[in-house]
Amino acid sequence: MAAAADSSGDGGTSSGEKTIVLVSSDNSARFEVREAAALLSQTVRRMIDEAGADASGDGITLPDVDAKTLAKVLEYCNKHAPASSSSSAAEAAPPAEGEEDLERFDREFVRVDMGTLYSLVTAASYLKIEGLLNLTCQTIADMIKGKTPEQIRKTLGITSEFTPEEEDEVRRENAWAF
Amino acid sequence: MASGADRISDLPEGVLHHILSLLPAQDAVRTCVLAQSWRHHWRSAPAVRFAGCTGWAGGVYTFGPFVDGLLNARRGGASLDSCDFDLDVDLDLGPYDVPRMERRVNSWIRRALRRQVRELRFQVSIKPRLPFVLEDRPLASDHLTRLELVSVQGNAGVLDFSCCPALEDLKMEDCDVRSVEMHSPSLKHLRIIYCLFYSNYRTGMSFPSLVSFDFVTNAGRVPMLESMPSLETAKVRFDHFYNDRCDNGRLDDCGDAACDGCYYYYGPDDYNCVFLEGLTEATDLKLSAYPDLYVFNRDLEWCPAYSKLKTLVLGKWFVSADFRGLIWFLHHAPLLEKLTLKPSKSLQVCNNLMKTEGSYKPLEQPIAASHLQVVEIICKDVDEIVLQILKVLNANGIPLEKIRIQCSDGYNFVCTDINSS
Repeated sequence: MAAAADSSGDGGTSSGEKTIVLVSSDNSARFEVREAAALLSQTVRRMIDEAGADASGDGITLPDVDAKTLAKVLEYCNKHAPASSSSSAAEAAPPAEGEEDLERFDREFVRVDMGTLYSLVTAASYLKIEGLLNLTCQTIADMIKGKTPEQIRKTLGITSEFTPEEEDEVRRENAWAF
Repeated sequence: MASGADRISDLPEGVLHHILSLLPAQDAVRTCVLAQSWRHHWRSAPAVRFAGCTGWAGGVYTFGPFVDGLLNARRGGASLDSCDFDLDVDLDLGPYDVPRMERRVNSWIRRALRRQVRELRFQVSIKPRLPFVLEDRPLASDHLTRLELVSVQGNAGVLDFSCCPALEDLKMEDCDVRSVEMHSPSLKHLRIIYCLFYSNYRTGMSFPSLVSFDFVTNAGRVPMLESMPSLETAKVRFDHFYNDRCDNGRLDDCGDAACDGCYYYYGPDDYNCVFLEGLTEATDLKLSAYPDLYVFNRDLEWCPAYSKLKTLVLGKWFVSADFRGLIWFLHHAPLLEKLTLKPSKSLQVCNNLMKTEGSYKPLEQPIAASHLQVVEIICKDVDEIVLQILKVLNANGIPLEKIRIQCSDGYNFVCTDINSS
């Protein structure tokens, strides 16, 4: 799927629905998205409220999200956005797609390399997109569940500076957990 | 697969805590050995899930010290927002001192509350099947707002929530209620599903602040509902497992001492309304039961009007010899806008009840619900029962153009004419 700009641009403007322009941190990409999709981000919502009605023309710059990550995030938002866009009800209204369809989408969406996953979880946290944050955190949690420390370090790319003695000390400190 | 840099350890602390909150507690705590920076993160995770103790060698006995250790370690540190106990106990694993285990596990609930949790979920599955008995003492917490109890046995003490002044949300699933009273002054949302009530006593339910009420597929006697002035929505469904049915197939008191259904009812002389009066403030009501549940029909003799009701769904029970229940709602819900009727799919059930007789009061006013915009009948096909329903609606002043019929085989009908026969 091409960058969010393509798909949302067509759908949004043809139905006359309000769109919002989001700009990546390096200013390299501008994305026009349906308001309902953009408002899944509490951060964007706040920025719009603070800037007032006239600011949306220039687009909202997101200093902490690069173009590649923003494109992927907007893919999620477009899929999960409610069918109707009424700014206060955007959270409460159900998404346009069916439940099962969304679940399948989510599963596929997080099949990415660790670098991308980390970028997504960081972006979801900064942009305050609850659904995406839960999804990415759960994905990482699933990589930790039931694994040995060695396996976890390998999968998540964690480097440990613990000496064997230090590690023993930590284990003893929390002996009831081991 | 792993990227070169250790990026996860650089994630914002809030995100790391979120990830840890999604893990079973033992996995979360064990992250302390991953790296220096991970040593203490688990101490601040806002949520803790105690899950799967059968996986521990020795089951709940070795799991016990772990839970104790974690609850101790969280003392004085970051507050614990939510605690989820999902315990499975396998009695086949060896000799068990069940009372001792119950005492210990019960203490975990109170210790979690002392950690100031706002949300608590508690589920115990015991194999072979046995309900876990909660301690007979009220829970006390100024912080608890949401409580979920699954597969436990209650009692009068624990189901008195007057010491939980912030409690707003309660869900009980697959529980044995074992109390003649349930009470919470603050509760707003109540869901009771697949629970067992006494078969010969009615449980009094006092929830004066309730806004939404789900009471689905529970067994035993229909509870006595006290008034709920803030109630907005209620969804009630009785399936086969209730005791309020007459052995002689009547909807009024059969007077037969051998009929447990009626003998333990305590008819309209002793109480007026058992259940329906408590729901009269609702704007949105779904009421479904098999037609032999006599409580609704009896309640309607005494029940005041549903003066705020806007949408109503009636399932099965309203089909009776004289459609008294349906007619009652048409005349006692003055603001009703949408009515949905779902007669039973089983014609047999309906036909049996059509034969019973009783002493029913005659109709009052001839003109029914003037705000009514649509009556929707959802059925398998347009059978004799549906035709009867149409006649009743017609006779009570509902114009045909407001009636829509939706058949499960996909056909929709709009009424144009009715034969009076």
